[in-house]
Amino acid sequence: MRSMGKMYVVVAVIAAIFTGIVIFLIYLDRKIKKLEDQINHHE
Amino acid sequence: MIKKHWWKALAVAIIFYTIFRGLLVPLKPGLINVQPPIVEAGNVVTFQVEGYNTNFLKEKDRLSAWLVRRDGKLAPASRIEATSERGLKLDFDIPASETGDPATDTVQLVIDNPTDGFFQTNISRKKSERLNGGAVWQEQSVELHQKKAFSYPFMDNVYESIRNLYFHVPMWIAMFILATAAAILSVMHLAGRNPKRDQQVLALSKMVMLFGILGLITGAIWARNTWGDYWSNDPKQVYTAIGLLIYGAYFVLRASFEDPEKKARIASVYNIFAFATLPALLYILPKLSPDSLHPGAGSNIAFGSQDLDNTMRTVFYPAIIGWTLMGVWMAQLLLRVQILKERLLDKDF
Repeated sequence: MRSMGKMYVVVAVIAAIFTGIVIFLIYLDRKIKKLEDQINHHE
Repeated sequence: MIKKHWWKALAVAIIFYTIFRGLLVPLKPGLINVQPPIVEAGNVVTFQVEGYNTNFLKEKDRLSAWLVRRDGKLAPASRIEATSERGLKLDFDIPASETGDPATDTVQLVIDNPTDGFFQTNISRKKSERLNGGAVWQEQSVELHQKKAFSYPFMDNVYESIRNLYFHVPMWIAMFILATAAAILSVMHLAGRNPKRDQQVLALSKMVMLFGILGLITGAIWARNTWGDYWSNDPKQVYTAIGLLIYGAYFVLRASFEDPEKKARIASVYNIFAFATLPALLYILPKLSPDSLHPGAGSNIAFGSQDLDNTMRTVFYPAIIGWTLMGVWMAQLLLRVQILKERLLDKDF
């Protein structure tokens, strides 16, 4: 019943926000990787 | 451990709450379609009514329907048949035209039952010479029901997507709160020249950009399904995009200086400037535009009146707090990585 009334729009919006958080995680992941590489070089 | 991190748990708990409550509370019942929208006086007419979240079949013995004239006089339905929970057939013997009636005017079709409450929709009435049926407008008062259970408002065209209010709008408000914090820290940096303040501004500004871009994307998805296009050059869409571009230039400017002190100083000054443009671009200019599709602009109905009712407030305000805390948490992670990087480059940091 609820799926008829544009519920998919809400699902799409929540998915978009989740994608944004995933992009943040990838960005952070790469930054930490760079730090690790730098530390490993120093040793 | 728990003492230091409670606010992160709070952020997650609040966002969980907004997702569950935001998705599970039903919409109020409403009418999707009523045919025909135009009737002639003095005719016998059958209305085909399509409802949404309605209980017509369950309430088939307690349904009532009237046509109501502007002066409050009404004509009851001669026969009501519930074809399904969402379908109704209403027979009306519409009273004949009276001398002095305008060529066309509007009457209201009011449908009522104890479970769903009442619905009303406008019907155009044309003047005619016909005298079928012989029904007359009656002076009569009727008792209408109100839907009691927790529910969100039913808005034509928006329907279930009204729940996006809990996800799209908090992005912008959280973005603005984080931008305010960044601007305050910029002022503190200019006053005290503490390089840590500059790093905090940088981390918060990244979150401002992320929330701003998510605000634009979620808005575009919502717009596609209510206004017809992802981008319809709505004043609010255009001005917020300009605001994000101005804010985004902060990162370009910051990257274009070598000397760390000069970099931090100029970036802080620019950050304050970019923040100063936001209230105008996000709020004042779109509100002044008469042709905005957004609620609250020009003569459009604001979220403050009927769209944002008290049930919605109990989800909407927590969502703002939840996403702001989430943004602070994410900014703090960025900050910690930035500071570690500075430490590796410069042992004195």
